Amino acid sequence: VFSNSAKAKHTPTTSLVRSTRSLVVLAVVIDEWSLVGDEIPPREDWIRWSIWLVAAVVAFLLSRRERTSSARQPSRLSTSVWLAVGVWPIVCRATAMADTVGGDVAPWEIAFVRALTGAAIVGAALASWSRVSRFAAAMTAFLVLAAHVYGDVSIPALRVLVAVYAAMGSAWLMNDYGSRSPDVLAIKQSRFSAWRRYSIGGALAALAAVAGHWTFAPPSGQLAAWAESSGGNRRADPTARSGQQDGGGSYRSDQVPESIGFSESRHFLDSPRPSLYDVYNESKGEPIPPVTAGRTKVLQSADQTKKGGNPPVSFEAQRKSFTTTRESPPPNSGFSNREGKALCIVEGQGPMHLRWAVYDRFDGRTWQEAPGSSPRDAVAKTGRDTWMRRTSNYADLGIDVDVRVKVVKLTTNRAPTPADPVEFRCGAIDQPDYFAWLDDGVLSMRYQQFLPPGAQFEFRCRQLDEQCAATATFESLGRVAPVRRNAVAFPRVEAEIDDLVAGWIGAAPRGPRQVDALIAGLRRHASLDPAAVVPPVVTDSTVYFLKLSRSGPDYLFASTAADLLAGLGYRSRLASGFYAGPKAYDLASGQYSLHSDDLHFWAEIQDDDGRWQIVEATPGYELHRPVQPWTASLQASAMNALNAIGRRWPLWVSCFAIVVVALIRRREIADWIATRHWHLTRRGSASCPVCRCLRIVDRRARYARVSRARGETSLSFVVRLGELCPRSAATELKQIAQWAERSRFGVSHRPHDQTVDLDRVCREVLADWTLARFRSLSRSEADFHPGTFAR
Amino acid sequence: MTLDSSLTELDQSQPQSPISDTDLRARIGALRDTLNQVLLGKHDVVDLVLACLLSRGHLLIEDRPGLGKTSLAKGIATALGGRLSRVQCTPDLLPGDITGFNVFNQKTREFDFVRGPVFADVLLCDEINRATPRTQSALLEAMAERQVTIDDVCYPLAEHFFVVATQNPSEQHGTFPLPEAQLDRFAMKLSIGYPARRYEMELLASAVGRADGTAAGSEKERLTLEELRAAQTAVAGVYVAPELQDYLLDLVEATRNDLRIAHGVSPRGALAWQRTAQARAFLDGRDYVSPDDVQRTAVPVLSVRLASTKVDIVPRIAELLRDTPVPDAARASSEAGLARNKSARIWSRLLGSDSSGSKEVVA
Repeated sequence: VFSNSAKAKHTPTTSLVRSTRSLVVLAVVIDEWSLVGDEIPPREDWIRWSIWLVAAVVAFLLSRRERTSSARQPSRLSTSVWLAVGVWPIVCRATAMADTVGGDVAPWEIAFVRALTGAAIVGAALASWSRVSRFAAAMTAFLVLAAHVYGDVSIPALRVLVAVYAAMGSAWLMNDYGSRSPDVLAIKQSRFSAWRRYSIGGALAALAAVAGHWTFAPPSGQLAAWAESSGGNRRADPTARSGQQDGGGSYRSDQVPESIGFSESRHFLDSPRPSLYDVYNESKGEPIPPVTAGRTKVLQSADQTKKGGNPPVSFEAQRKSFTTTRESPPPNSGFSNREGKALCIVEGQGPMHLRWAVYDRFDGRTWQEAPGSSPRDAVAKTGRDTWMRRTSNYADLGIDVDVRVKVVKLTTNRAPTPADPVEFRCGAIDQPDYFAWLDDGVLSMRYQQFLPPGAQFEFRCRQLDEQCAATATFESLGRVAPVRRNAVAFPRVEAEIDDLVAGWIGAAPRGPRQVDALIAGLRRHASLDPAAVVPPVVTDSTVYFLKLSRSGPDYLFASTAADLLAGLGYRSRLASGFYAGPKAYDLASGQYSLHSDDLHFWAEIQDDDGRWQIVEATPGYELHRPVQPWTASLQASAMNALNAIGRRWPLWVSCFAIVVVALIRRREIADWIATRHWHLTRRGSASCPVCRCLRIVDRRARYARVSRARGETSLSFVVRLGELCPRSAATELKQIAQWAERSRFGVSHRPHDQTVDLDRVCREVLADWTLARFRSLSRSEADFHPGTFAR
Repeated sequence: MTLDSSLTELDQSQPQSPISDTDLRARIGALRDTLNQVLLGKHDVVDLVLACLLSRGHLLIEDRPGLGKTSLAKGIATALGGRLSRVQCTPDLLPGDITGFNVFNQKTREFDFVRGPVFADVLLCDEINRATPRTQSALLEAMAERQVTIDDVCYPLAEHFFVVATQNPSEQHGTFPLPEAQLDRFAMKLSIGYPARRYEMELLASAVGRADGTAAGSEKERLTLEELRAAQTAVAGVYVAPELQDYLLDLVEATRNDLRIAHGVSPRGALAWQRTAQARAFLDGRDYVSPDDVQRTAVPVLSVRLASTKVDIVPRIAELLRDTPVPDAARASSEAGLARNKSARIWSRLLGSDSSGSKEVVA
C-alpha cells in the first residue's frame, strides 16, 4: 500500500507549515507578555499568563494534527467552549491592558482586538475543519490590518512584534487558504505551491502595511478616533468629554466610553482643546441649522410692472405665502483668524513650553526675575552655516528635537525659547555677539534690540524623554521645616501645610516620583480658575491658595508648586512663557499660533546635571516628553537586559546552558521519561501496556523522522520497519502491533494470548527499537520516508 | 447491555455451521492454492477474488486480452464445483440470450421456459462492454436480487450466483460503457496485470507437453457449495469495530465531498466495502476487521464506483486514504479504553476532535 519512495510527511513544505503555525502561536504569546505592566497585580498576572500559556500549548499541539479535506465541522459545544476560553479572559482584562498600553487606546477597542486575537488562536486550534479554518483565516486578515493600526503604541518594542505578527498572520492566512484550495476554490493544489503561497502572503502583508500607513496616518488610537470627544481622542485626558450630552452636565469619555457620534449641541464645548467636532466645523463650516418656517411677502417687481399684464398668482404683489428661510452661516471664527493675530508662530512637536522669563526669588506674594544673563552660558559659532551653540551643554542625554519659532508681534528682545536648547540659528545672522543667554535657557538679543517682526529662530534641543527624566537625580538643598522656606509668620498654618504636603508625597522617594506625587496632590487639592485673583491684603499667596481659595489661575499653581518644591529641598524657580497646546494648533498649517492668552506659568527644578526641568502643575496643561525612536528604545532595552544579565551572569549562563541542552536533547528527555513511566506503571496501570509500548516506539520513530505516512496504519508501518531491519526484534514488534490492533478493534478486547509473556516481549522491543536505532535508520535508509500510496 | 454481551448474543443467534472453523479455513486455503496455480504470481489478486466471492459480491475484471481473465473465472467455477456458464457478449446479443425465453411447445400447446446461461453458479460475461445497454440491463436484477423475471414470472437463481465479467480497456470501438447502475452491482473491479518474469517462465514450462493448454484444480481441492455457504456466513460474522465503521464512513463521505469526483460511493457501495473488508480479514485468519483491510480493499471497491469521472481514480483514492485520519491501534487500550470511553468522548468533544481526529482520543 505504501511505497518507500516519496517523502511527504517531513518535506520542507510541511515543516514550514508547522513552524509557521508554531511561530504564530509563539508570537501571540510574546505579544501578550510584552503588554505586562506594573499596573496589573503580579499574582493575577501570573495566573492569566499561565492560562494563556496552557492555551497556546494546547493550540500548538492541536495544530500539529494534519488537516483533512474530508473533515467535518466542529460541534457547537466544542466551538463555544473554545471561544469562551479564548476570548473571555481577554475581555475581562481589557481595562488593565488599555492602561498598560497607553492613554490613546480605549478599553473597548483593546477588548475587541484582543478578543479577535483569542478567536484566531482558537481557530488555529480547531483549524482541521474547513469552516473554522476559513474563520481563522479571516480573523488573521483582520489582525494583520489591526496590527498596523496599532503600530504606534507606547511600547516601542511592540512594533517589532507587531510587524512579525503581521507577517506571520499573512503567511498563515495564505498557507491556510492555499492548503485548502483544492476544496475551497476547486483549484489544483499544484497551482499554488508553498513558496508561491508565502510570496503572496508577504505581498499582502506589505500591501496591508502600506494601506494601513496611508489610511490611518497618524495612527493614534485609530479605533478610538471613531468616537468623538471634545478633547481629542485621548481617553486619559481629564478635560476630554464625550460627544453626548455636552455642556454643563457633561461626562468624561472614560466615564462614558461607549459614547460615540457627533454632539447634538451646536455650541462649542468649553474644553481648552479642539475636538473633532471643532475640526469638522473648521473645515466644513457650521452644520446647517434647523430650518425655520416663516412667512414671506412678494414685493412688487419693477420688471413685472413694465411688462404689463397680471403677474402669476403665485407672484402677485402683497401675497403672503409660507416659505422657509435659512439663517446665513456664521462667519468662520476661530483658528483661521488666529494666525493673523498671533504674537508668534511655533512649529514642532507639541504641546511644548516656550520659556520667556524666569523668576527665582519669592517673597511670599511676588516673584522677582533672575538677575540678567547666565555667567556660564555664552553663544559660540558651530562652523556649520549660521548655526550657533551654547558653550555650556548638559550631559549628552535625551532626544534631539527641532523647533522653529517665528516672531510676529513681540516687542521685546527675548525670544520664546524651547526647553533644553543646544543649537540655534536666526536667518543669516552669523554674529554670536548679537545674542545672549538669559537665565539659563532664554535666548535674548544683546544691546536691548527688539526682535524684528518676521524673525525666524530654529532651535535644536536635546530634551529628556520619559526614561531619562525618570532617572534624573536632584541635589538636596536641605529640608526646610516647616516645608515652606518663607514660613515665619503663621507657624500653625505652616504646620498644616506641612502635613498636607506630607500626605501628598507619602513615602515616595526623593526625585521625579516625589515631584510627581506632589504635583498630583496639588492638582487634586485645587482647581483651575483662570479669572481668580489674589486679594491685595494677602501676604502669602501659597497659604491663601492652599488653605483658603483652593482655586486660582495657572500662576498660583506654578508659584505654589515652586514654593513647595523649594521647601522640600529642590532648587526651584518660576518660569513664564508660552504654552503651545492643542488650543493653539492650526490643523491647516500644522503650526501653533500663540497669542497673549497662551501665556502660561509653570515651575522648574534643577537636576544635578544643571538642567532645568519643567514641572507642570496646572490642570489641563500637560508636559509631553519627546518620544524616543523605537530603534533607540529597543537598543536601550537590550542594553538594560544585558546589564541585568551581567550582574548575575553565572546564574543566567547556567540557566541558558540548561535550557539549550534541554532544547537540543528534548526528544531524548521526553523518550526517557515516557519509557520510565511505562516501566513503572506497566503492571498497575489500567491502560494497555502493549498499546503504550507501541506508542513509545511510534514516538521514537517520529522523533527520528522515520514516522508513518499519512493514513498508514501501525501494522503496515512496523512491517516495513521489520523488512528494513531484519536483525532486530522485528517479529516481536510486529507481534505487539498485532496485539495492539486486536485489543483496539477485536471483539474480545483482549490483546494477546494469555500464555505469552507480554512483559518480556514489550521490554525486548523497547530495548531494541531505541531512538538511536531509528536515527541510524533514518541516516542509512534515505528512501525510507513514506508518503505515497502505490498500488 | 455491554458490547461483549451483545456480540455473544449475536453469535448465539446465528446458525451454527456443522463445519468447524479450522476445517473451513483449511478448505479456503486449499481453494486459494488452486487459484494461485491458475493465476501464477498474482496472490493479491487471488485474495481479492476470494474476498469478493466470500462477500457475496460480483467481480469485474478489466484488463488486456490474454492475461488470464477467463482462466481465472473458469478456475473459480471449477474450484467451486458448480455450474459455469459463459456468455460472449456482442452487440447483437439479446437479453433473452442471457436470461432465457419462453418457447411455444406445439405438443403441449403451452409456453416452455428455456433457461438462459444466467441459471448457473458462476456466470462469466466475457467482454461485457460489447453488449448493448439493453442487454447489460438484463443482468441488473440477476446481480442485485439473484432472480430474473420473465413474463411476470420470477425465477430464482442459484444461491451462490456469482458473476465474473471482463472487459477490455484498450479497444473502445464498438463498445458500450457500463452504466453506473450496472457498475454499482459489482463489488469490486480488478486488474490482473502482467505476471513477473519468473512466473511467466514457470507458465511456459508448465505448458510444454500439455495438449489442452489449461490448468485446473483437482477434484479433491474443490470447495463444496455447503462449505462456501458456511464461509460466507463466517465472513458476515467478522467483527467490525465502531471506530472502523466511522473510518469507513469518513472515507465514503470524502468521496462524496470531493469536487473532482462526480458521484460518491452509495450506501450499497459502503455495505459492499465493509463486507469485502470482512472477507479480507477472514482470509487473513482474523475475526475482526483492521484498518488495513479497509485500505487494501479500497481501490478495487472504489474504482468500480468512481470510474465514471475523467480523473485518474487510483491516485485520487490513494489521496483520500492519505488525507483521512486512520484509527490508530497504538493510541488506546482496550480495557482501559472501555472504562474511559465516556470521559474520553466528552473530552474529545470539548477538544473539538470528535469528527476528524477523534481516532486518537476515543478509546
